[in-house]
Amino acid sequence: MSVRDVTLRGEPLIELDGVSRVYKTAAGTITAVDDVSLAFGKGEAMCIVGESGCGKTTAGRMLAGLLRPTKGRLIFEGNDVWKIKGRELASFRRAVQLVHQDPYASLNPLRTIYQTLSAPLYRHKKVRGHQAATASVTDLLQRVGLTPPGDFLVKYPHQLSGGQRQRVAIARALTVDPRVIVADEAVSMVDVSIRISLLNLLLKLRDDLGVTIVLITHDLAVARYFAQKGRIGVMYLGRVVELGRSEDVVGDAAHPYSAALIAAIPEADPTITRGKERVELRSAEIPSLLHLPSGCTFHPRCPLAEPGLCDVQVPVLQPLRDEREVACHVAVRERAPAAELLSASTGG
Amino acid sequence: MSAAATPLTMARLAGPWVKVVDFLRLLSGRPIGLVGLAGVIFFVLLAFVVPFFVPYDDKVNVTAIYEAPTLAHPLGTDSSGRDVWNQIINGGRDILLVGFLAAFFSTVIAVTFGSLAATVGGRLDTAILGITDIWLTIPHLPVLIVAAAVLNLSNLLYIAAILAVLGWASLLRQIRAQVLSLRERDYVEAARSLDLGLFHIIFREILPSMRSYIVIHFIFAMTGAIYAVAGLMLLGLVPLSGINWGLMLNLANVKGAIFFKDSIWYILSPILAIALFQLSLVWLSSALEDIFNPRLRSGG
Amino acid sequence: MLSVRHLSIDYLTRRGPVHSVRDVSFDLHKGETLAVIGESGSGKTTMAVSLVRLSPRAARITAGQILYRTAEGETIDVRGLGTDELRHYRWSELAMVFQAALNAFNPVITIWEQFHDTGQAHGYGSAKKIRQRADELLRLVHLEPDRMLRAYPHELSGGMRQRILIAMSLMLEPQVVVLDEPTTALDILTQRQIIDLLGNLKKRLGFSLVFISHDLSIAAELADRVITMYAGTVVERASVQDLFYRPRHPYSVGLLRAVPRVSGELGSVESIAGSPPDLIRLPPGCTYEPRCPLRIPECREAEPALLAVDLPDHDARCIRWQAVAEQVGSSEVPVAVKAAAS
Repeated sequence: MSVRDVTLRGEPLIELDGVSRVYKTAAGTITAVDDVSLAFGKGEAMCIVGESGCGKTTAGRMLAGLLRPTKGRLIFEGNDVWKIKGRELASFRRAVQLVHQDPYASLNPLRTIYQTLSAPLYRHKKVRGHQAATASVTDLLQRVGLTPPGDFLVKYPHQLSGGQRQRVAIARALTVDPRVIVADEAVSMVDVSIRISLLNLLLKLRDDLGVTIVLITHDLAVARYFAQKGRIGVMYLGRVVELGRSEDVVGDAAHPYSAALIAAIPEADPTITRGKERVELRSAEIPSLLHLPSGCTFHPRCPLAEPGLCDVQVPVLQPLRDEREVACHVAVRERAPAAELLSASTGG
Repeated sequence: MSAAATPLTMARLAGPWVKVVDFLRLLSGRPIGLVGLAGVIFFVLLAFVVPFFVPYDDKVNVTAIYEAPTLAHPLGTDSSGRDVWNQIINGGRDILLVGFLAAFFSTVIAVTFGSLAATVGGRLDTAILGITDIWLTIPHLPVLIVAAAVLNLSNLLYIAAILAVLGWASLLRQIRAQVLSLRERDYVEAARSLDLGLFHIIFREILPSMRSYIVIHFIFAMTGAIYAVAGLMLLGLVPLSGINWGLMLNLANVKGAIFFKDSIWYILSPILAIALFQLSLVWLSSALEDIFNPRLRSGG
Repeated sequence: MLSVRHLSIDYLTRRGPVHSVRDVSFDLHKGETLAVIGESGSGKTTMAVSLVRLSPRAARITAGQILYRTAEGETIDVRGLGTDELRHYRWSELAMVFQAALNAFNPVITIWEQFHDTGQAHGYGSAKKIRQRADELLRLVHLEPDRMLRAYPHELSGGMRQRILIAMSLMLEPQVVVLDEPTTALDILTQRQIIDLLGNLKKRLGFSLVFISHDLSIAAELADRVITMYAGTVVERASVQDLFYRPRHPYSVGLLRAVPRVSGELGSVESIAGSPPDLIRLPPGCTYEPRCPLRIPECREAEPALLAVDLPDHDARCIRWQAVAEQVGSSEVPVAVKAAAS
């Protein structure tokens, strides 16, 4: 039984099906995303985690329908999105909204909050007249925790803090009643002291409105908090290497890359962070996307790599125990998460 | 005290007046801009309002040729003894009007098609860009001379239209480049995925952030058009009746004023009028650049 | 070694002076690692930059002293240094590595030329001598000198550039190294390398380290002492163990509770309500009062001084520190976990 069956309960709402995205540059071909399949259920809160260059943003943009996959399909409610046209395509566009990383760039600096939020309402005939629009915008501001709403209506983005702007961006996404919100590093540019409240807001929208929320982040602690009861997918060099329940991934990483990552993260706790057991990588260098290693792209750095296997065969996501999937030959063969294999090898 | 009083006064003023007051307050911090604005207002009043009180007087007075400034003739007299000040007052209207209209038409063409090309992209972009490139290779002066010879250019509107038709191409390319970069902004992408429509995206999201850019280029287009029309008149290619600053230069040239030492006031007056007006425009535009930045508006 | 006394810095803006740093005092001892933590607008970077007198033109030091004691026991008033003395001080006594410097390498010259220029500007000696030193320093930061010195900045990863910057800052054997956000914008595995590297270098070379960061976890990793800044001023000074397990200022408590962890119990994680004050129009009394869950009317009366709390070498700018102590206690358990238990 794969993770998808367990967590999704029924048909997925939106799905990346074997998508790749290739860029041709002067220096050569770059594969930003390589054969990624991910399915998201209705009302799911899921995280995609990875470091820069892992393809998580590209994957997120393909999920939001903003970027056409070079290969593979984006499926929404059973339809192949890039084959539909006209009104149906427009309604898909509204159904999936992206919240950008930079709240300083995602709001038009010349438009007031009221103007920004009322435009989609008018356009899609959700309200008629100034009074109804003000009432709707007020509701939206309240929903995203900008209170009292009256204070924000006539403000310009530059008069708000980063966190407040991000709330406006979320409210704007809500104007079109989306089914899916893709939040790309949506909290990484706001102050640490208010990140949690933004994550809580997204989770509350999920609970209240049943919106599927996909948070893309480089911060595993943020991912852990956001997906407490949900799933985390870990990406490395364009591929999903691990997929599973949040607490499993964080507590007992199945892929050697996630295990190394978790062991390396500095923590805001002197005793824990100074006593952490390290996972020694064979190489510190991240391979260039222009010249990806053969077989498993992690093999040149992986402490578990086996010559003749990992450098030859590309591992695919396969089920491991505890409703999780991992793309690692060794972990699958040993039927154990890499974190256990690694601590056994250092401990013994 | 004054800081506390400002919001109160602002609140009492209704609608557009708030914006005017706000604008002047911002401009007051930039002396060059204030001088520019004053200059523009001065010349506009001079050209459009003062003539009602000081009608054109083309009475020839052969006894008072090329007189130095006196109280009766603040800028002296011309080759026929007519008052130069009177000509300056009555000769601004046509020049300013042609400059304004030419700049307006060319800006409208450039902004409309430039932003359309950049936003829609694809074949429309290629087509518009192709036409623009061809247009850019057409030499202006010969076309103007031919047009002046073939068409009846006594109508101001025609001159403005021809200058506009000749002048839009380079601005279009610049507008297109600007829109292309603005199109990639996150908020424009958001507008697209909210399905707000092409009209909204161009006129509500993209063009407003180009206001200053457009206004400043409009002003530059205006200065260009004014020089062009003055040049046409100096060359005598426009059979205009009445009087204007360009015609004054043309007459000064034709009547051989440049060969007399006494005629310095007569020659300098239209040149100065044009130059000062242009300078005012440029100064105003440089101050506008700062003011259009909303971050400087009433604090955050 | 370094002693900052009542330092205040204003930024002049159109809207009026921004009180970016207010009454900041701290001491740095020999061999100590001090972390300055705070969020954007807390004044931490403005303060750090003033330590090497590289503040932008709009910034004015309005009060206070920066005193530095050289290895020979001489005390220097950094505010009073002339141009030449300042140059000497900046590299040979106290070296600073800026966050922005990661992208501020001159892109058209090689790493060797950067080393050479720096060495020459400070009269280090012949090219041969500089080369020897560069080799030595690069090996110290685990980089291969031959390859690195021939490279141009764009050919190197962010982690390599950061290590080169750290190596360069050590060229003239400074006694104090100041790092601004040393690991921000680096990947986790690279962050880990830089942290381990800094720890080792310090152990081997014995310099003192000041780093400025919004990231609490780096302070937890490296610091001996931590100061927390909020709205331009120091709100708490404590040892690293105290600050993380026994904070006495409500802002430090709020910050600690706002950062989730990957390992161990998640605890009760929560954001701080509200947003930081406008630094032009500061609220009366304590600047944290509008956001503080423990506020009482007295908090609005005057900005509190840094008060000694129930723990040694630990002060907090809060008249309610006893209430904080009652809530947080003194056990070595993360604040968020304690909050979940209570």
